[in-house]
Amino acid sequence: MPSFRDTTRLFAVLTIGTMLAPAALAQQFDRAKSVIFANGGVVATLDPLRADYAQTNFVASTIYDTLVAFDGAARIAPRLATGFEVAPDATSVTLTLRGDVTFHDGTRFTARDVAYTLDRLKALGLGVAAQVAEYDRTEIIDDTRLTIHLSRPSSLFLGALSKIYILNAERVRANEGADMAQAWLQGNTAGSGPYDVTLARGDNVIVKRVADHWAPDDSRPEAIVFRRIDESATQRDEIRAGNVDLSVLGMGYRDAQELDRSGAATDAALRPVLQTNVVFNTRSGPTADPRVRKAIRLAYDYAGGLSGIRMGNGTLSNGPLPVTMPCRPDLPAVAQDQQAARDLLAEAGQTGLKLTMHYQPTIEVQRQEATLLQSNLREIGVELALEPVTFAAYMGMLASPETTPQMMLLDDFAQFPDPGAMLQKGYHSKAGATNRSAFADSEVDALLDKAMATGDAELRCGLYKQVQERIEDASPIMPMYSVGRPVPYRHQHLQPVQVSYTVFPLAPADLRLKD
Amino acid sequence: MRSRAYARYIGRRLIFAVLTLLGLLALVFLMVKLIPGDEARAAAGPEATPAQIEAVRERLGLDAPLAVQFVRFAGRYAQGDLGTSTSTLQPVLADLTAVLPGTLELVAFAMTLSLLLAVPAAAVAAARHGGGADLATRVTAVTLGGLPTFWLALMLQYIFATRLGWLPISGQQSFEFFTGEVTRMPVLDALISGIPGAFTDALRYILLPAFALSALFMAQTFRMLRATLLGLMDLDFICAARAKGAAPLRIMLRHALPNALGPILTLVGMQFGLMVGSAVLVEGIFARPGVGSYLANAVAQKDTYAVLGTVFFVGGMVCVVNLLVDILHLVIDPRVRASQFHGEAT
Repeated sequence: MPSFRDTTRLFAVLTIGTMLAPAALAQQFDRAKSVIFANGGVVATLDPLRADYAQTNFVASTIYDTLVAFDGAARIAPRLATGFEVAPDATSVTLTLRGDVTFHDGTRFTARDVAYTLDRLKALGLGVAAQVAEYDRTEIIDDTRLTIHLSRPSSLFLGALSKIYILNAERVRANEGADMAQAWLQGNTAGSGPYDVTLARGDNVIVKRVADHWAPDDSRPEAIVFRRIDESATQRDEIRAGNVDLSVLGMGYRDAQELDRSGAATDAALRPVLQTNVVFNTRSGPTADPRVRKAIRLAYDYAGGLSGIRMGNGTLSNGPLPVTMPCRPDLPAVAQDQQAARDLLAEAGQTGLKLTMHYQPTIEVQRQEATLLQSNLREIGVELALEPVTFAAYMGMLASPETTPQMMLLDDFAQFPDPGAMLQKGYHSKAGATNRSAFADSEVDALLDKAMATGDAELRCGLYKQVQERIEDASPIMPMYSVGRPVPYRHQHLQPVQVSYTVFPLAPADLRLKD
Repeated sequence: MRSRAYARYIGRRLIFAVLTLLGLLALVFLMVKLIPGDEARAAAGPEATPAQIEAVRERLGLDAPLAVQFVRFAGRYAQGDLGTSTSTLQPVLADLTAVLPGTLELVAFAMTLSLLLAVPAAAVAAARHGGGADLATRVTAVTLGGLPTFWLALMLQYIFATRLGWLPISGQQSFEFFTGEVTRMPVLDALISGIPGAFTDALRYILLPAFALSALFMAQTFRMLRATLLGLMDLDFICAARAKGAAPLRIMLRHALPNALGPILTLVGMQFGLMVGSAVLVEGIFARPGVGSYLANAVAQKDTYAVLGTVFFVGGMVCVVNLLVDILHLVIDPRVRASQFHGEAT
């Protein structure tokens, strides 16, 4: 049995060793050729089915490829599919695939992999399956040609394919089990992307560049480390210490600005297709009256909110869709006019109006914006009660117009940069709970249905502009600003980062090391 | 006779533990159902169509009445199946075995640190009652006990990691030292791996979070132990030892401390559950994966099975720890044996 003196010595040696450890570290990880990417929130699974969650999408987008993507001008661009054609009635999409793509295990990519991926999504009906809900079946013409048939017309389907990661059918089928490989894909991969997972441990995932990707690029980092760090202050300090190269989710506007000012990092202030809105309940309560909704819209100090809360990172809204979305009509920007707001309330016969707004308390800027709106509304005689709510609880409240919150403060973004992607789900009366304002306008429904049923891009664009004008007039939402995301990155290590329209707000596979 | 008495005692405690867990399960099940939100909608995803949501509701059995859901749920638990998480799509048991060891290691370090610092400090304070050392340790204990864990963690991180750079800011291990996952406890795995430097690297990462987590409990332990020791120091058997010329150190180590261990053991048993609960704050700040962050994510996602599984699992561990504490009491303290086995030969 060790004596007290021996134990004390051992403790002292361990303590000193602990303090001196950095000097003895053996370099087994090439930090100079890697990128460490910090985000708040959990990467719950690596199954690309759940790429509707931003954290999973970050990782999945490095491991898997999509058939199509969107370029910097928000136009559909080829990826695994080199050719694509939407039928005039938008009930099918014909694709031509690359013939030189192999999955990480060496299996050749063919049309069968596309069919399997879409069939699996249809069967499971979870996550990104919502993007391709119209999928019916795939007709395989040969290894590189196929036609996807839809159960109903959908001019959005081709764009939605930018959200679908293609699986290695042979490999997944071999591990399908009883749950269509959901458990297996939680920790295993079956992709053809530029990276593959080498380690998924706790809240850390490391992906390493594969040698034989079909679009090789040596300037890509050799490895990307995804680290979970929830606290903005911790993210900031790790970037300042050089232990993290960039962070997105969880990074606060002030911390990003502080890093930028200190020169420790550059805030890319990316502009994804993202807008902050207050969503009104248009069916019940005082907000069912459009004059009340318009009065509330006129009360808010938009410029003050944008500069003081979002630190100027954004643009004042001018319509129901973010300013970064294509096909938008020329509408006036939001502005405060409290006298006009009072007049509208008087016209609506509303005196001593009391309202309730829900918001997500974990989002710091939402707490501040809710308080600012509360203060602005008090100035026009409206009492606004603020109710914190989790997003999951909010989704539950959308089950019916009676339970839908009177007002809800939300950051809303498009899964892909097509106006239909936001308008169809957000404002069609038959969209269900994704129509968060319970908005119903038969003219809007007719225009949206017409847009869904045509493959003519120009016609669709015109229809969507009409829809936006009608929505703007009805005011089911209070658009505030198209917001930027603070993305501080270590400019000493990385080339300037670019926004992505499908991986919110940037695609890790697009990161490039500085020479 | 003694072994039978022990067995009867443990049996009684086990029955209480099972009943406690059943009650906990029912209570948490109801609480989770009362939290606003729709599990099927959360599982299907924010953009799911109504048809997709209904299909998920049916698949998860959420269309059944609440009582039926609870009976099915309790039946699965009886077979060791904690259900499948709707956010990770994994069995909850597998998720927990992945995240719980990290938290347990942190709690073990915090507990050890708490005892290593609080026990000698309390002994010194009691021995030097009213003196400078007593005052200094009391002030330190009151200060530590009064600091919110969240704030203390941020301050420790800022001073010792960000400003001075002595210890890492966040994480569990340097990426250079990522080791295999034998136990899923980073420090232990690093030790097992045999990689030079890995163990000290993992130790460096756990020091600040363990200290932040232990501070409040350290103060509690110190105050209780000091008060117990002060009470003991005036008792006859201590006076007798003193009269026989025993040195103060010997009196403290051989006579006073062993008799003061009972309340400390009880306190440690209670602290275990509280520490696991407090770990969520520390894990968040130091970016350490653990059961706290898993539970927080589950609540936010309305992931019923994950919430229930975690509470049940942690509740079970607290029951087991308290059972062990009770048995230890029995073993080391003849007064407890006398009171528990009253009328039986011990």
